[in-house]
Amino acid sequence: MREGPDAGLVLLVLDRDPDATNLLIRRFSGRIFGLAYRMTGNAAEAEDLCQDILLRVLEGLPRFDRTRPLEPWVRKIAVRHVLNRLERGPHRREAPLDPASLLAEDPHPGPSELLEVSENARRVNQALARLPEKQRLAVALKYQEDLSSAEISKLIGVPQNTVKTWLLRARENLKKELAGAV
Amino acid sequence: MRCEEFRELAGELALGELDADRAREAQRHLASCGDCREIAGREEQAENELKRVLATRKPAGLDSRLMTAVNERRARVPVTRWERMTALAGTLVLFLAGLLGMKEWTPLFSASWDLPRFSLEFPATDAVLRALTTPWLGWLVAFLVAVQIAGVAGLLLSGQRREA
Repeated sequence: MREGPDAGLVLLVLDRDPDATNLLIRRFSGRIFGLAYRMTGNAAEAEDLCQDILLRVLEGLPRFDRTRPLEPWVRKIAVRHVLNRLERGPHRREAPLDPASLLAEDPHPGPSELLEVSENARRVNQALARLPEKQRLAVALKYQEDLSSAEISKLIGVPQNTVKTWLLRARENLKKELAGAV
Repeated sequence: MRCEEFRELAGELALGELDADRAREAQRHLASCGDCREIAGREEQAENELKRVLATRKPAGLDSRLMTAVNERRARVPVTRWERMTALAGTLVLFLAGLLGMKEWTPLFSASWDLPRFSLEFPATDAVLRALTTPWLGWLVAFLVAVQIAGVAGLLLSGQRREA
């Protein structure tokens, strides 16, 4: 049986190697946080969720099929956990991230850019919060994880055409919200 | 492909969700239609802006906070069944011993009692001893002890302990 691309890392983590564990945390923290933040709109809650998801990943590693890549498996755990959390009831109030954290490509933004991004982020968060959970998840997976509608459909168990319709509808809503900027 | 048809599909094209054949048709149409090229350009710009606004970066210090918290929580191991049973049995023995002790050494549970002789010599303790010898107070104390012990047992039963 041929081992997958992440088998080495997984074996080290299973041996409780602290460096390997930290490497795994660093590798997935940003993406898990991004997904959790887009789903909850609350940075502190997203961080708590991120912690819980990483623990689940580490606890589940002995059952992970090492012939496969780690990333889709981690994403599946993250999506399931975030949805479970949202189903459990009301979450904390919206608490946006520091605007500088939203500028993925510019590490040194100017004040006007920060203001613009902060305002846009507020509008986007409000528009996302109005979407039903699964639609919000589809948008997060599309723009955060760069997944296609086919991949999203497989991940959340909804027909591909439904996902496509959600994405197009959500895109139109978000475009309206950002009308000033887009 | 006609302009109306392209305009309906422009969003899907920008999303990258158009199937290969339709995408080729759309590109052929764009090559010959300036108005639709403009629409396609706007859709692409909107898509890029959405990607920019929806992108998040990790907050400062997230990794180190996560590493500390995750490693700390991972260091805890669940209490085994054997440990739970021992804790439960120990708690039960403690509780019974406490009840027996109170019955033996204090007048809490007796229907009739005499105040110990030393209380007459120290009148200040008289009121306290009288209060303690009230039967309902004895039961209240026993109840509180039981709650306390049950709390400890509950913690042991459901909780985790740190790895040695």
